[in-house]
Parts: sequence; C-alpha cells; structure tokens
Amino acid sequence: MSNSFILQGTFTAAYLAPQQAQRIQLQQQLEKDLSESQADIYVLSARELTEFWLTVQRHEGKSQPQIETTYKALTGLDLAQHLLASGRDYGAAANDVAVVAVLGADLKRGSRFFETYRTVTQNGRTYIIFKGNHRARLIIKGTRYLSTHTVMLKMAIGSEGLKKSAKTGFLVSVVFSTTLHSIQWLFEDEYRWTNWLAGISTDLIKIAIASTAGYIASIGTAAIMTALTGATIAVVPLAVGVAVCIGVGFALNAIDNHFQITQSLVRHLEQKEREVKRIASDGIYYIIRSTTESVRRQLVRSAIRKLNDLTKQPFQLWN
Amino acid sequence: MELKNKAIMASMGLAGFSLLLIALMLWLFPLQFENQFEAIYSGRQLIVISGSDAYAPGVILFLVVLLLFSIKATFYLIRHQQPSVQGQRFVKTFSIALLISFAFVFLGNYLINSYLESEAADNGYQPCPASALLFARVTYSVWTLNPSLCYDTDVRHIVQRGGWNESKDVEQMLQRREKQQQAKRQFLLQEEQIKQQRAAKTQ
Repeated sequence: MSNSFILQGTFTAAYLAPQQAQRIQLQQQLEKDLSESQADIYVLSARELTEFWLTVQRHEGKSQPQIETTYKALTGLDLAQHLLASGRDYGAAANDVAVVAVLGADLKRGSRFFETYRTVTQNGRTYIIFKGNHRARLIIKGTRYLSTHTVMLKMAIGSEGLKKSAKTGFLVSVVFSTTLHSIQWLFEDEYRWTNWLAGISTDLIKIAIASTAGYIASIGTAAIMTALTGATIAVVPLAVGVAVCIGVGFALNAIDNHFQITQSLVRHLEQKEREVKRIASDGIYYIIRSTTESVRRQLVRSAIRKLNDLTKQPFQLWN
Repeated sequence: MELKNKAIMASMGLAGFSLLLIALMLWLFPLQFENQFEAIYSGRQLIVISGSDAYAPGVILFLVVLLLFSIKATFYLIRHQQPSVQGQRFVKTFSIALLISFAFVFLGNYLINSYLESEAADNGYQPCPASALLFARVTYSVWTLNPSLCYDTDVRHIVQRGGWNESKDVEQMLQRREKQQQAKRQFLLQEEQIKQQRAAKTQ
C-alpha cells in the first residue's frame, strides 16, 4: 500500500511543479493517515520504558556492550543492575524518575516514536504517558514483555476507529435484544415463538439502520472537521454518531408503533402457523382414513380365506 | 482538493439528512407525546410509558445545531481553499454547541421522564415490576391502577410490544370481564330468588 503511494507520488512529481506535487503528496498522506489513524495512548513504567528503549537500540543494530555504554552515559546507571532492581520491584523511585526523564527525552528525539510525553508519579512509581505513532505500535507489539505489560488506550478518531465503535455498538445491541427476547420466550407462556421471531426481526432491522445512519453521520462530521481545521476533535463525531443513532432509533420505533409493523408480522406468522396446522391435520386425517380402509380390506380378505379353509371347499355364493 | 470536495459532499449530505430527520421527528414526536399524555389522563386500568420518546426534544435540538453546522461548513468550504485558524475557531464554536446540545439529549430525557412518571403517580398509577410485563422492552414501563394486573395472564397475553392500542385492548378486555362477572352475579341472584320463592311456596 505504501509502495503504491510512493510510486504514485514519484510519478506525479516528475510531471508537475514541485510545490504542487508536494501538496498532493501531503494530501494523499493525510488521507491515508485519516483512514488508518487510531491514536494509541501508552502508559509505561520505568521498567517498560527501559525495555522499549532497549528494543529500539537493538533495532538500530547496536551490540549489547554498546547499548550498556549508551545507557550508562545517559542515565549514569548500570543497565543490568537497574533491570534486576526494577524486576524485583525495589528500584529506587529517584532512579525511576531519572530513567523516565532521560529515556523519554532520548526516544522523543526527532519525533521518532512520539512528539510529546508526560510523566506521572502514582503510588511511588513513575510512569510515562505518550501518544505513540505506528513505529511505537510496532515496537510494543513486537516485544513479548511490552506486548503483555503495556497499558494501551485506543483513542478511535479515524474512520477505522469509528467503524469499530459502530460495529461494537451494533453487536452489543444485537446480543442484548436477542438475549432479552429469548429469556422472555423461555419463561413466559404467553410470549410465543411468533412474538419472538417478529420482535427480534424488527429489532435487528432497526438496530442495523440506526447504526449505519450513526456511522455515516460521524464519518461525515469527521471529514468536514478535517477539511476545515486539518484535524478533528475525536469526541464530536462520536457524539454525532450517538445522537443520530438515538434519533433514527426513535423515528423507527415510532413508525413501528404508528403502523403496527411488528404486530402485523406477529399476526401474519400466526396465520401461517394456523394454515400449516390445518394442512398438517388434513394430511394426518388422510393417512388415518387410508390406513383404516386398507386394514378393513385386509380383514375382509383374510376372513374370506378363513371361511374357505373351514368348508374345505371354495366358498361360492352362487352355483 | 479531493479531500475538500469530499468534505463539501459530506456537509451537504449531512445537512440534507439532518433536515429529513428533523422533519420526521417533528411529525412523530407530537404523535408519541399526545399518546403518552392521553394514556396518563385516560383513567384506564393499565398504561404504557415509553422512556425513549423523551430523547426526542434533545435530539431535535442537536440536529438543528448539526444542520446549522453543516450548512455553514458547506459555504465555508466553498469559499476557503485551505484549513485555517478561522476554520479552527468555527469548528471549536460548533463543537462546544454540539456537545452542549448532546448533553441536553440526556438531560431532557431525564427531566421529561421524571415529569411523566410524577404525572402518572399523581393520577393514581403505580409502576409494574420490570420483570412482570414487557421484559424485552427495556425503555418501556407499565403503570397500573390495580397492581394485580401486572401478573394477570390475559393482560400478559395482550401486552407484548408496548403499543398504544395494547392499553386500550386491556381496557376492553377488563370491561368484557366485568360484564361477564355482572351477568354471572345477576344469574346467581335470580337463581337464589327462584329458590327462595319455591321454598316459600312449599311452606
């Protein structure tokens, strides 16, 4: 995907004025970022930040002695001893502060993994909080220790994030509705399968329409805001999505009540059920009648045979 | 340029959609509320109150703000070529307005529902337990003048979706039941009178 963008960008740059080509490239990059963007907020302890820094150093091709020397030069601490101490949870809080500050500044250099960060001390431990880019995500996902220990909060702001939110909302509603209808069907004699089927069908249609409308509205709002400011405020498209979802849900519910759509569906299903029962009972009556007739014929034949055997002569009604 | 065109299309689409939804809600909202108030003041034995209807005024307000935002955004995007500080200010103002109206959706729902419930209580209605009737309809609540109706089999058979007609059907069923009981009482009374007359004759 990225290669095609580079190729396209190179091709365009060769034929257009450099400034225009650069602007197009930036716009394409922005569109790509928006479609894929999901801000990941990371919360790392001193130990986790050290692991992060070590992985970065290894990725940059440094050997273990080189890494240890750089670490000592930056923090004034011995790497092995510090890792051991923080692993056993008795690392000095002062060391944590120094390590977080120095390594945070080193990783921030050139905006390689994040642009800004904050340090927070909670219950005597120091944490670094930053909004990581895709490189940070790769490092964290590629390191076993970090992938299991790091606290990561996904802030959905791009179209993918909004799509995920819409999907989650849709699934929660579907599970909720189906479960409630099924429980009612199981425990209430008056609630028949026709009510269950009609209720679930109309609920699912309403949920699907409302979720789609909410998703499209939130995507539209995000696109407008991006075009106006170059960025978007994450909470506004979400609020638009939720409000539109509620509005469409209300409208569909009111239409259902007004035109009695679900009730008509229940009545239709009950009518079909009666027809099926009638056809089935007609069939059963035919089978019983045919069976009785056949049995009667068999009985007559066997009675005649018995009478013939008793008289030892063919039973004749006329001479 | 493509991004801007998409944004213009999006803002026009959003404006159209908001307008359509506002019109739809302005048609349906009075119908729903009329039914709610009619039920509360009807004096019927059993009524249904829909909690989700109370979101409507807040949503209409929100959609009006969204409509204004999308219309202004369309004109703004047509006039301006690049994202600007002025655009940021415009978005910031409307974001605050949208978030305030979003809060009104829930605040309005709470206030309207509280009002409807207090009105129902003032008219002598009591809420049925949530598990007794309309279990699958979480936004609906059933109120009754006679709490024994919450567990009545015939009522359960009628009240399945929480529609307005169900409350009327329950009332008709109760009236029929009352007539049957009156007829039964009348019959028993006549029987008793005939017995007494026969007893008087034999004496």
